[in-house]
Amino acid sequence: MSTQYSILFKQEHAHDDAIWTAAWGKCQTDGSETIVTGSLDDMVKVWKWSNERLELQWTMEGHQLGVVSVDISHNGAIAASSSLDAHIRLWDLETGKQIKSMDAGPVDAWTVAFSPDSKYIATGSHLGKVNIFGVESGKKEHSLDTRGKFILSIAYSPDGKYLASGAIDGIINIFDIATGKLLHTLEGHAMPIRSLTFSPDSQLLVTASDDGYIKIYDVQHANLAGTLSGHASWVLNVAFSPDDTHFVSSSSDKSVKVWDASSRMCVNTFFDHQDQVWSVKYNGTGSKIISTGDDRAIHIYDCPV
Amino acid sequence: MLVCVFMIPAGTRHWEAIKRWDEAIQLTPEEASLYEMKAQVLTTLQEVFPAVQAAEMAAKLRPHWWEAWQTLGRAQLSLGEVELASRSFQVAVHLRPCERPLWEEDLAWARKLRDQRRRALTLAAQEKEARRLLDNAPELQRDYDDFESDEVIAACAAVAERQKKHEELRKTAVVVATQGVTIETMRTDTERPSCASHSDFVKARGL
Repeated sequence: MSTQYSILFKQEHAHDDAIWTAAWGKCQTDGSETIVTGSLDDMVKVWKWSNERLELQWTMEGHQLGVVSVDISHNGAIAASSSLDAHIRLWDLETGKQIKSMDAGPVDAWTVAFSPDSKYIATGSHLGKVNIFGVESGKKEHSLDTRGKFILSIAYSPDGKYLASGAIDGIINIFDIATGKLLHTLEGHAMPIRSLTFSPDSQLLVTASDDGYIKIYDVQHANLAGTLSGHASWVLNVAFSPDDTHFVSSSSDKSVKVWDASSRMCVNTFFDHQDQVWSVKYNGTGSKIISTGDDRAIHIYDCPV
Repeated sequence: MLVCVFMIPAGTRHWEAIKRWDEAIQLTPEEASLYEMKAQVLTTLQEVFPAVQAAEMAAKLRPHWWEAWQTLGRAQLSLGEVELASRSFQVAVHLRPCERPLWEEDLAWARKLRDQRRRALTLAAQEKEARRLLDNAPELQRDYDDFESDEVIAACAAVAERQKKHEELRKTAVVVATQGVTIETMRTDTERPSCASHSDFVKARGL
């Protein structure tokens, strides 16, 4: 147990090109910690985190034009990935084999997110639609229309009630999943929203934008609860800690910042990357943070718990 | 100052513009847009190496500026670096996915050229391999006791088959022009009009 924030591990040259996306999951069967990374080099890599180091388990080929987004199912068995050529692929994390490949249509897949029950994968489209694919069927099963612009970011609320999308023009939409109805449209930012995340209790929504700000919304009332500044450039990714107390952000300014969710203060800044940091995630207990970016490195940080 | 640069008419005064940009870069060497604009003009002037250098500088100074990557990709394309150009356009698309021309013109174009280049390289490699097998046929690496045996006939047939394949590959030459037009020609070899298959058995026997 660490009492302060510190960098714990660096995997230099983890890919042959920029690492645009990362996910941290836990395998339910053996309790092992799995990290999945996706890169401009078209590869999806699976790593095991054990004894405070990373071990490459699988390198999975198939994507083209660069891997934009990865996510891991909640039981830790399947990974989903999407690439610029708008293909979504599902991978068996135990064998490293592809389970399915789904063509979402031209420019119609960006961020991929598993639903809380892991039966569906949601992704945004360039026409402002949220397309929901069945993991079992491999087909598009639902579509939610924001009537807006290109959707860059998607998040399910952990309680399974809401789905939020962030668009390239800065608009946030929140849907009721049960009815498929659009609940709220928020003019959150004037610039692209590259990431958004719900708090584990599903009460708060945190958004990251090219305008350099992070915003916090009260989901139920759709009120703006806070605007955070600190990054000197685009905020590329945000992720909440599993205990609701902190969230982490990464930016084009090469930094990773940890924020206290109640005081809204930045409690730590990591300046360890050499280039833009595209992805940050917490592990399942909130004791570690992973970040990846254009410098092709994977960093793991220790968090006080 | 930049405004006057824009006013300079295209064509004859391009070099004048370059000079002005260099002066501006002296004053503000961290300003990415100066390198990007300079790169565009250098590309127009077909000064491909300096164009790539200037665009690289722009992308380095402002890595999240998609237009720097687009300009870099275009400069790399005019240098014939289709793989690098494709990568630059991918980075640009990732930064600015709603920009349709980036997908439909720049990236699609670079990918097409890249695929053609890869195809041409594969064909060339195949032809080389076919040539090697013809000159060093594995069937001829051993001694045959009986020249009339079925074994020898089979070996000759195999060599003949290979020669045919080699001829096929030689006939198809893929030319990737800078304009990206694939010209696939049936090459007519006037100097050696016919090394047709009826003479193959002679070669195969090593006579």
